[in-house]
Amino acid sequence: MRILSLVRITLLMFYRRKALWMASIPLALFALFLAYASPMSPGFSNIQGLVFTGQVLAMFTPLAYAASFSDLMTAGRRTGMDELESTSPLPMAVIRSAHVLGAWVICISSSLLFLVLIAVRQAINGNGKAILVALAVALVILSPSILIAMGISALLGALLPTIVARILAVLVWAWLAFYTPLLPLPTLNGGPLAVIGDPIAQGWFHTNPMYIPANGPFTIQSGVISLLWQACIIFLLFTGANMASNHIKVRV
Amino acid sequence: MAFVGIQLKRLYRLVLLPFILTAGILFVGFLLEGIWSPGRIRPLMMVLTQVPVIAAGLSTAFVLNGDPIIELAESTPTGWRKVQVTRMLIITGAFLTAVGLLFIGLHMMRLWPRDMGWVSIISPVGSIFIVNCLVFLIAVLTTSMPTSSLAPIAIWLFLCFVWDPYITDPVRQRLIPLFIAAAGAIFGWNMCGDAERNVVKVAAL
Repeated sequence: MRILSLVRITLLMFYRRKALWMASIPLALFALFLAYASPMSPGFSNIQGLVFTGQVLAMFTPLAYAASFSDLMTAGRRTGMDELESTSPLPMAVIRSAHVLGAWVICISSSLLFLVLIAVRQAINGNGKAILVALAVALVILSPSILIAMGISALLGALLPTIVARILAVLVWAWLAFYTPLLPLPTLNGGPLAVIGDPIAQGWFHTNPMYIPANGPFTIQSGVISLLWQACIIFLLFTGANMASNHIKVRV
Repeated sequence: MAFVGIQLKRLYRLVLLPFILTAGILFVGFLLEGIWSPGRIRPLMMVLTQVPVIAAGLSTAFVLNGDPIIELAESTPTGWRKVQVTRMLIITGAFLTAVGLLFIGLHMMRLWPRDMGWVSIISPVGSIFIVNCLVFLIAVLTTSMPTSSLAPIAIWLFLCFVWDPYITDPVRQRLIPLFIAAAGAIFGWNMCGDAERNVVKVAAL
């Protein structure tokens, strides 16, 4: 019960940051335009289109979230808010998770809104499963990507000077999400460790992946592996950020 | 000028950043020039030349937010607007100079992607100017660090992926958003002059 009320309070705290909502809506709109204009796009009128749109959102919107959450773990530490929080009966880990959860709700809600709108249009045209697929896409493709971007941002923000952390976080996400054979960089894309949802999209929703898989098409198992792998990264990133932020000097 | 000097002293590390980036990118170009074919270096440069634009937007968002002594600045004859605008101009000036040098360097090495002669300099210079003007507006509107760091990436996404691929004439490609950005900056300038608003925003935070 206490945890539920904590989540409610955190949601309220982030609900008040209206400017962030306003900024994330055009961001999702640009990504939607890219999904629509892409030569690979299957259109918005079928399940494939819904999954593809989800993946494009999962590639582009985290670029901005990687830039903006470098103080996710350190803001409370700098203002001394964490001392107040540590006197509450809840463990700090729960409080920190609630902060992350609240920020995540803002990040995903504008993308989720547009995905659901597309799905509603499909549902009206007779595709009854569309809304369920939209919610599933948001949960298993979009949210891990957004959480990874936020985690990268929070970890780098706790370790490095703010501005360096921001630029680096954007570059790290760009490296994770985009790949061109013209550049001789190693990449996770094309394998089951990709963080932009290719294994899940092909394994679970049978769509064409963004990057051709190196070892044959992805199966249901590679989708499961991918989701577990992403959950591990998210856990490690936020734990790391939390530990690193313990060493930040408090401003007295 | 003494006032600019004080701000410069405060921001000198950030002013060095664009020049370090320029030097780094030029060094990469210089290093690869003999090893790779130009057709292979250009895509790499296409990516690397976007880095200063992102860095410019994020640096501007960083210097325009999070100053805890707005009230103090407002109580002096200087005013908060002068502080904000000076900071923005220092950062923008540094990035414009650095990216100008970057263009000249890469243009001389014939490595600038989609080079159309000297007119192409408008492309990086324009991007940085547009991003910084709009970040100034958003920083004044929201006075919130996460939002104004999200904004430059959104604007850059728009310019790089939505606008540039469709408007290919280099002058029209930059002039139209430039006018919009300048209008936004003037709007922000007017709003930033409202001392009461600035102080109340701090109190509400």
